[in-house]
Amino acid sequence: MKTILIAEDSGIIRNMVKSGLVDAYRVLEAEDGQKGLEVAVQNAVDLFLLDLNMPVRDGFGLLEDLRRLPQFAKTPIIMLTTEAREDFKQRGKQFGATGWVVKPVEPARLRALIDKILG
Amino acid sequence: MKPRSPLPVWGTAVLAGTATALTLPIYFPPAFAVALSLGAALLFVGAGMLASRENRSPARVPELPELPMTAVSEPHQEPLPAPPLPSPSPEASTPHASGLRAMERLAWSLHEGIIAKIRSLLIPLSQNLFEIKNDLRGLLAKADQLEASFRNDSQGLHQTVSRFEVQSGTIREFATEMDLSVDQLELSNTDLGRRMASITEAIHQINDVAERIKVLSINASIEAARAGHQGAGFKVISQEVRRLAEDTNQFSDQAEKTVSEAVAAIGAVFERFTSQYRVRAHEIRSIQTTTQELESFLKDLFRMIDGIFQDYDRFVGSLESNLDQVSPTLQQAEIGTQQIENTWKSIRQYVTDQLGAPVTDPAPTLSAEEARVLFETFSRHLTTPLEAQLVEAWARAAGVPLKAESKQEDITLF
Repeated sequence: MKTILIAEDSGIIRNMVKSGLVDAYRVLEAEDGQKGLEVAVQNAVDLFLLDLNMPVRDGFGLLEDLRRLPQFAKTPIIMLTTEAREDFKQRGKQFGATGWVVKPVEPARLRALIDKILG
Repeated sequence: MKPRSPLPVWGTAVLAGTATALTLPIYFPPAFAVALSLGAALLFVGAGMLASRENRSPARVPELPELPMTAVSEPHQEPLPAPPLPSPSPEASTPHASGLRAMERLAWSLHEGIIAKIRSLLIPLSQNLFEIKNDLRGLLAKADQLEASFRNDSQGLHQTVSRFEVQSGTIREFATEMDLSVDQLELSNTDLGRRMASITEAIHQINDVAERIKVLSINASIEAARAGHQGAGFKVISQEVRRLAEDTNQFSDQAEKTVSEAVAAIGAVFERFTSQYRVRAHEIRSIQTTTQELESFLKDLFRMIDGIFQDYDRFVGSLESNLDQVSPTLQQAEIGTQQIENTWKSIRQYVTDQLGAPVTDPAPTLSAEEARVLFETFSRHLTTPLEAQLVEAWARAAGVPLKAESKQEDITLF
C-alpha cells in the first residue's frame, strides 16, 4: 500500500482529504510544515499533499526542504491550498511542485488525480 | 470627536457579514446567504448608528451583554492575506484609544463567538463524516464478503436445485409408469378372470360328459345282465366305465372348487396390489409437487437475495456519494473560519498600529460602556450610502468566491 503524507494545519481539511484516500492508501498526517518534514524523513512517502499557509513552516518552505532530500527529489508533491493566484502557482512550480489544487476540492476528484499520478 | 477613518466600521461590519455569510451557506442557497449576510452587516452598522443617536440622551444607551473571552483553538502563525486596512493615522491618539480598543475587543469577542463555535461544530462533524465513511467502507466490505460467501454456498444450493429438477422429472416419469403398470395389471386381472371362467366352463362340460358316461355305463350294465353269462365281461367293463365317470365327476368338482378358490385369491391379491400401487403413485406425485414448490422457492430466494445485494450496493454507493458532496462544503466552512480569523488579526493589527502599542491579549470582557463608545465611534463614520461598498468589502474580506467567480480551474498539473 502506497503512503501519502498530508501536511495541513486544519484538522477538518485533513479529515476530509483523508476520508477519500484511506481505503487505498496509507495516510500520514502533520499539522505544520516542521512536523511534515519530521514525519517525511521517518517514512517512505510516495506522494505529498502540502497546505500553503501553515504554522511554523509554510508549504513553500516544506516543499523546498523536501526537494533537497535525495529520497524525495522525484516524489510527487501536490500543493493543496485556498490560494489560486497565478504568481503563487508559478512559485510552486519553480520550487518543484508536481501540481496545484485549490481548496475546497471534492474528495473523488482529488482521489482520481492521486490515482492517476501514482498509478 | 472627529472620525479618523471609516474602516473600523468596515472591519466590524465586514466581520459580522462574513461570519454570517460563511455560516449560512451550509444551510441556505448561496444567493440567499449573501443577502442575509449583507443584512447582518447593515444591521450591525445600523445598531451602531442607533447607539450613537441614543448616546445623545445617555439614559437610553442600550445595555449589551458581556461576552466571554477564551483562547483561539487553532491560531495561524502566518495568516492569509487579509483585506487592506488603512495606514496608521497621525491623528491616532488617546481620544480614540477607548473606541479602538473596544473595537478590537468586540472583534475578539466576535472571533471567539463565531470561529470557536463554528470550529466546535466543524471538527466533530468532519470526524463523524470520516468515521461514517470508514464505517460505510467496512459495511461494503462485509457485504461483499457475505455476497461472495453466499454465492459460494449457493453453488451447492444451485446444484441441489438442478438435481431437484432432474429428480422431479424422474419421479414424474416413474409415477406415470406406475399408473400404466397398474392399468396393465387391472387389464391382466380382468383377462385372468375371463380365462378362469373358461376353465370353469370346461370343467362343467367335463362333468356333464362324465354324467352322460355314467348313465351310459348303467345302461350297459343292464344290457350286460340281460345277456347273461356272455355279458359278464361287458358288465365288468361297464362298471369300470361308471367308476371312471364318477371319478371324473369327483375330479372336475375338485378342479372347479380349486379354480374358484384360485380366482378369488388372485383377485384379492390384484385388488390389494393395485390399490397400494395407486396410493404409492399418489404419494410420488405429491413428492413431485413438493419438489417443484421447493425448486420454485429456492429460485425466488436466489432472486430476492440478488436484489437485496444490488439494493445494498446502490444504497451505500449513493450514501458515499452524498457524503462526498458534503465534504467541499465543510472544507469551505473551515476556509471561511480561517478567513474570519485573518480578518480579525488585521483589525487587531490596525488597532495596534493606531494606538502605537500592542493590544493586550486576550482582551478582557467588553463592557456595555465600551460598546457604547464603540458604537458612538462607528456612527460618526456613517455619512454615505453603504450598500455597494459593503458588498465589495464583504466579498474582499471574506475571500469567498462569488458563484460567478468560482469557475476557475482548481486542479493544475505542472
